[in-house]
Amino acid sequence: MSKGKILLVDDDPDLVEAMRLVLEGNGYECVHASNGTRALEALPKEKPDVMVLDVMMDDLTEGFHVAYKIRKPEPGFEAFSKMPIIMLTAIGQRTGMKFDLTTDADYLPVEEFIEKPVQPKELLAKVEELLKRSRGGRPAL
Amino acid sequence: MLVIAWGLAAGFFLAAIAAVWVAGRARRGHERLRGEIVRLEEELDRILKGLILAEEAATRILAPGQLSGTVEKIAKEAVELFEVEGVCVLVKPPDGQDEPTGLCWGRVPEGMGDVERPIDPNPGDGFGSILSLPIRLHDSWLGEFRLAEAMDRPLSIREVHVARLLAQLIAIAAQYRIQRKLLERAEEDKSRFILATTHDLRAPVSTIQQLSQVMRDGYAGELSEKGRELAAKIGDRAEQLLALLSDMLDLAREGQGTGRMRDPEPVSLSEVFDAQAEAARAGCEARGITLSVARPDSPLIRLAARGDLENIIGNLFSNAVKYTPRGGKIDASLEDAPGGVVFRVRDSGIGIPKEALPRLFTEYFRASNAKEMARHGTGLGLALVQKLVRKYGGRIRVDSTEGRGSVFEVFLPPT
Repeated sequence: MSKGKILLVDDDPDLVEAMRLVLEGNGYECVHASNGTRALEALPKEKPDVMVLDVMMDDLTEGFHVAYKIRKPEPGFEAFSKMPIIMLTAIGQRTGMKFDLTTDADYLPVEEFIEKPVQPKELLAKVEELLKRSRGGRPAL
Repeated sequence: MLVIAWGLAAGFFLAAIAAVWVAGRARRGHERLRGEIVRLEEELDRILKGLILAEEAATRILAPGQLSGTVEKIAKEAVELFEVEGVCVLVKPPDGQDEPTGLCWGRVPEGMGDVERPIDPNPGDGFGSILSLPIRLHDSWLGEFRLAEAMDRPLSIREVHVARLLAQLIAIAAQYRIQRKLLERAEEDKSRFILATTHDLRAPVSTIQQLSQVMRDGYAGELSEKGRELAAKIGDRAEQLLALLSDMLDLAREGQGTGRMRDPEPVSLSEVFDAQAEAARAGCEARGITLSVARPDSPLIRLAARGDLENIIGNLFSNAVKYTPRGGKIDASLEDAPGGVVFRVRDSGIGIPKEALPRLFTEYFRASNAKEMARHGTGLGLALVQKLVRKYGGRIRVDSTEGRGSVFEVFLPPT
């Protein structure tokens, strides 16, 4: 019995494999989508517990666009409106971004940010924390 | 007795005449001298006005887009300056077109109408003398400076000299401007190239770092001790590359003027100072360095991009840690001084060799002893710090003795 199902959304297969090895090695089940459109298609079929979403993918499906669709939620995604989302950002991108979870959590469509390169410990800690929070019946932030 | 009296009277009379004559000569000499001075002053004035004209003309040579207005002004002023009938400034646009463009101004010579209007002083237009001087830069012809005088008045030698000087000045000013423009273009190209390259390099290097870490931690199966060590080395090197890329990216952004200043917000310098000091503390503890910090209670708000202030303070903290040997001491302070805030980091580190000081803020420069102490520096940190400090109208100062330590002091004025 897996500890939870994680949907990894990134266009870099090597990066996805690195995350998959860490998560599977710690008892999680992983599925993968290479862009935002495929991620949205995969949701109803895979019903993941947590989504790890790259901020910007090759086909220019903006990560935030995907996240807002799920959060809003747009028709078809009602079941996932409370699914925790971790957003992956490029190196150095976070300091340049105008938002901050400590102040803007109310309107940001994601629960956590991880800046690349993803540290295994940080990824595991955040996935575990978010799963605990959502399973504890409390609403996601 | 009478004879003696007459003699004396005649003597006085002659003496008086002589005195008047001498005084008159002296006055005339004085007047001539004064006239000469006035003429020299006028000449000097003419040369100074020529300098200003040359500067304007050079601007025209390099900005062919808006030709008519300024060239008309130059031509009009040159007419006044030389007291000639017509002046023509022809300039070759710097973008490779060979046809010179320009404008002439002057009075139409007598007998050919008396309206003041743009003219083209060409032989056969009723002018007596035409002086045509090339504006040359090395071997290239940039334009022409032309004076035209009416039929009954030749150009004086002085006018010819001043005109030649003016043509030379225009060429020198143009050269200066051309070189400055080329330099600016080269800087921009460099920044653009670095931005594009570093941007593309970051993603694969980041993935290398990540894969090596996953390997090292045994997620891909248990490794031998040597295998773990090698995976860790790959990861360290990738991280070092990432640090270099991130420094280069920050610097290139500043060079392009697309730095993060675009989104300034009120930032507390005290908060940034605390956070960076905390980050430095870990490094200090690992190397047995004593770190003491001091700052006022006030938040010291600045309107800035947070990342910029983090870069300034963080870079100076990490340099102090990097270049202070085990057991050393670092004092950092933030001070609310009159007229601005002073951030100071004093370390008991290796110091900076005297000959390295002038180049300390140059991109990619690293002092010889710095290279020995920390192999993996990028040489970009201080260049970036200086750029950022200047962006906020501040100043950075360094005082250092090799082998004894360094003090870096940043002054930031209020926003």
